[in-house]
Amino acid sequence: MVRLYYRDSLWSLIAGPTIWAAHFLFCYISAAIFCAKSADPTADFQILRIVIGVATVVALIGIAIAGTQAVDDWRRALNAEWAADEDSLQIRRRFVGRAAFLLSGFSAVATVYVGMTVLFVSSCR
Amino acid sequence: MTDKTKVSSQDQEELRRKQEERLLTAWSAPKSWRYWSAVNNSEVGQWYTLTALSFLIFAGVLALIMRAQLAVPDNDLVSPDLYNQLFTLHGSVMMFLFAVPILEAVAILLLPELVGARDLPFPRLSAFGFWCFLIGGVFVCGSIFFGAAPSGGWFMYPPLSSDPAQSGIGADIWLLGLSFIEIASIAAAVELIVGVLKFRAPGMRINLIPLYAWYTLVVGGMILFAFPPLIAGDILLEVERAFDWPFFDADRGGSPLLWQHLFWIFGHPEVYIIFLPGVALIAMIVPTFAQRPVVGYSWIVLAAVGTGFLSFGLWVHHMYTTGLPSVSLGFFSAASTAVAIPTAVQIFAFIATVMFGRLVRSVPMLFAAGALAIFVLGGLSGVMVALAPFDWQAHDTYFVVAHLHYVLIGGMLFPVIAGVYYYFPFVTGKALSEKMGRIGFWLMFIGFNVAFLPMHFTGLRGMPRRVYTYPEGLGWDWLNLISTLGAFTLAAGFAAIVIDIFRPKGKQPYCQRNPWNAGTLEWLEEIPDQPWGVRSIPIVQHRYPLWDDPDFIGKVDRGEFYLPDAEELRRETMVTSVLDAEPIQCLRVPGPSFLPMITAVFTGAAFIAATFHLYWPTLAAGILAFASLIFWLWTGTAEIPEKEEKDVGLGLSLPLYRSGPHSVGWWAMFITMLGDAAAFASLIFAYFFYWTIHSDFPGSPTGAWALFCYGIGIAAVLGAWALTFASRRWNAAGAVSASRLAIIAAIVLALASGAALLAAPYIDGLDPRLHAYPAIVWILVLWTVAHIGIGVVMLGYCLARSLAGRLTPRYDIDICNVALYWHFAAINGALAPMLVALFPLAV
Amino acid sequence: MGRIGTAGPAASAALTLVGCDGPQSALDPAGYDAQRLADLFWVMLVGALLIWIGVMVLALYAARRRDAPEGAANLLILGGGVIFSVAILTALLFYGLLLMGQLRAYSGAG
Repeated sequence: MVRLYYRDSLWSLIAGPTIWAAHFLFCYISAAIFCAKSADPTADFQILRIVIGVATVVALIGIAIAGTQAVDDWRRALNAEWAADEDSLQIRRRFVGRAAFLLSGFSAVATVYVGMTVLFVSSCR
Repeated sequence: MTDKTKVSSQDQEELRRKQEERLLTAWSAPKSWRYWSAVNNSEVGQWYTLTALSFLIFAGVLALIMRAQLAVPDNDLVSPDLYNQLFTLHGSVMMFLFAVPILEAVAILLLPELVGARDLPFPRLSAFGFWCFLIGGVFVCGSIFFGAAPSGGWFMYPPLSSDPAQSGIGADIWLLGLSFIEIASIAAAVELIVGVLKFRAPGMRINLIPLYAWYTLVVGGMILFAFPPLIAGDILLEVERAFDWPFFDADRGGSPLLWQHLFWIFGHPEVYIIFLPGVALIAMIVPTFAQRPVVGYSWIVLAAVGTGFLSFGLWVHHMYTTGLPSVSLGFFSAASTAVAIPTAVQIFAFIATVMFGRLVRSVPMLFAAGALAIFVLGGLSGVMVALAPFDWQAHDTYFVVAHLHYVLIGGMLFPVIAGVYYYFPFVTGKALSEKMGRIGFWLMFIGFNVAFLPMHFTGLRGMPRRVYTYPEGLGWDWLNLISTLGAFTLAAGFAAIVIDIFRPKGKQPYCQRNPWNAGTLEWLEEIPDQPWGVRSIPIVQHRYPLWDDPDFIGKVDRGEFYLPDAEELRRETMVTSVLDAEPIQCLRVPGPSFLPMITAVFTGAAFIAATFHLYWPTLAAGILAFASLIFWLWTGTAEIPEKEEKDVGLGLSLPLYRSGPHSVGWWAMFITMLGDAAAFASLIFAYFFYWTIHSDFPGSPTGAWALFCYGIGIAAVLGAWALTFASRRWNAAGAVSASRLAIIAAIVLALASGAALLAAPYIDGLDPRLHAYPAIVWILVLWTVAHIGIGVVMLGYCLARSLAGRLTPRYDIDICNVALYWHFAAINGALAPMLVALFPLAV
Repeated sequence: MGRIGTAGPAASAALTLVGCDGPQSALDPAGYDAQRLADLFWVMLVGALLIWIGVMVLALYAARRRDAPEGAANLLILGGGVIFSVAILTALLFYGLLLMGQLRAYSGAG
């Protein structure tokens, strides 16, 4: 499985939101350039729709990978010998995995929100 | 290590006394007039807080004058121009001189003790930031007494603000005065990020850090990426005003919309930069008064990080009525709606903490409850205006004024006051008055709602923002009068709080230690407060160490942890690893010095002289500031210790000196350069923005000679970078002469690069006054050359340090940090010329 | 389009009573777009009031409650903070985007 970030680091927390941000920038920049430079935005809007749709799907796949890796880290830590003390390494790993998973979930929702714009709005006006 | 059982208790007492004497000598604040050279977080934090509160009162008085003017229709209490200055200054002072600084101030005061450290990583940098803030703030606020305050609204939109005839010197005061203060904010961000990640007590793994630290980390990152676009915009606007380069002049290819983008890319994260630290205080207060650990720690981390990221995708919601394509507006509506999710999550987490605990009533909790009520209402009106179509009706009306005050006062002011009541014993050892707190609260809460709730309605009935008066019969008369009465009630409540803070407490007894029975490390603080912060640096094994171990305070007091002593009479604290807080280094942090103040005074003088277009004084002050800075760096940084390692207690020895990615200085450079990269990216954004709004941009392809010069420039800067990198390597390997020669060669190449890059647009005949295209090319080139120039100075500094024996193969912090700088400078130095050289050929 | 026509007189009477009318009032719509936007506002206002009251009631309940079973904590955050807010916000975003799409759609008149 492709690893999106170093295991056992804080990058896992921001993998999901970073993908959201990249998707957001892609959508905004594509739409801005399209609306500014397209000869016939009405006729060609379908192209923009498809482009953004594909980008959204790609982003969601990326977020899903980040999320499953997070869950993987979380479960891995959980399956290790259970330590009752709060200060164990496994509990710390579990926390990072869990927080990364929650952030991935949230990033997925936010990505869907942004992507679904083109379902409703189809003009450059 | 002595076996304790064999040492008599009398000897132990004697040892502890001696340790405390040495710690006192190392950490005490300087006396009499030298007091103002203090750099410790306790002193700097208190000055910062008091200064920020003063600006709050100043801006509040401005608002009362505004409300008095608006109380009745067709009023003439103040002139239209004065009214413009009032609202501009009210907004600017509140946002730049109160809201962000107070949260920096509180973080400076709290953060070290919160994570078990003795000071912040760069105390002199905090002090410098404070003096910049004070000087800049007085300069900006003072302008109104000369009738010269900025008057273009706190967002300073061109073309009103870019026309010197229409906007006067006030706009320059805003641009230069506030840029100066923004430097202080970025400095604070660097400190706070490094403080949270590297300064924690051993054992405080990342899942055990107080939530306040999580929020501070996120906010530090946000400041780093949000402030630079504003600085870039400020540079463009000031250059347009001073030198007539048409960045925002539509007649010559510019666009006022570019300012709006740059301002709001800063402006939206800014309000979350203000809100999150407020919530962070709530996150510390609620568990204490629910008498239980916080519920949903992971959820709250999600909320903080998620809000931090998402807040960068909202900015166009301030521009819904500018005529941008509706599909673009849709993206921002979507993100603006999404950001409510993490906000809601953390609110539910705090409610859950109270529900599953046992509530203790107190003034801090009262203000927290008021904050909840007000903020939730503000959040709901925010979701309304997040939807673009509704905003088309509400934009620039009092509906928005209502919304923003609900979220700022509910999300920041009430939490800050809660924090003041909660942490007052922490700072002064004495408690504030419960009675005055309650009176103040109810006056403020009622007054606020009476003032601002009607404004939703006033706005929807059509009253625009920033009007100095209004006619009768539009249906706004009663609403405005009620709002004014509410505003004065709010002010009365706030006055009660201020009185409570400043009333003399000489006769009042000290409170007991840890008066609220809280669980986190800052409450280790002794009462009355001792200058050393923590008596010894503890090993942490729990989120709430004071609750977990009843003798925790005792152990720390008896010096049973790390660094209980200051044998060499130096200020020392521990540097630990990011994820698990494993000890890495014993760091000696600087003590008192007047250099930060002096450097700030000269820097401020340079900015102020520039505001009045006095260019020779600007140059002189700039040179003095530069000299002061070099002196500060030379005498105060990268100090070679007298021994390799030091025994920090409990059988552990740690190095005193670390360079490269393990050193806090390297981190500071890295973080600062990320911010610099954000500003650079903003300028690149400006270039491409112009491309989207013009059908024929750039006008003509790059000439052959210009291409040649750009090519030389790029090659030379990359050569300088490679030589710097080699120099670092050779120095570390012991080949000191080779290393020095490499530095000299790098300097020569860098200077050549700068010359070539300046020649290129000149040869191409680009006149920056004619059109936005040559202007933006010149700005990109000048920015690049300036960064190369700074790189040259840094290389020269390293050469001098090496020759003076302060930079050696073993002790190489300077060249490591400079090499890091050059990585960024090389990227900048290659990308910018490539863009301006090749893009005209591609389109 | 027919809304203004049929509800006209009754609506203006109600508006005058509540005090929403006025030459610049967004709540006294005089055109198609303004009417749709006013409707959006009223829907959002009712929703916001209900949510605000709900959160305040929950907070007051939380303040009085002692010794609640711990397991329900996560459920509260998940249910309220996540599920409820996502559901409401998604529906609202749908409404808002749909409306914007319709108001700004390309028409024959360009």
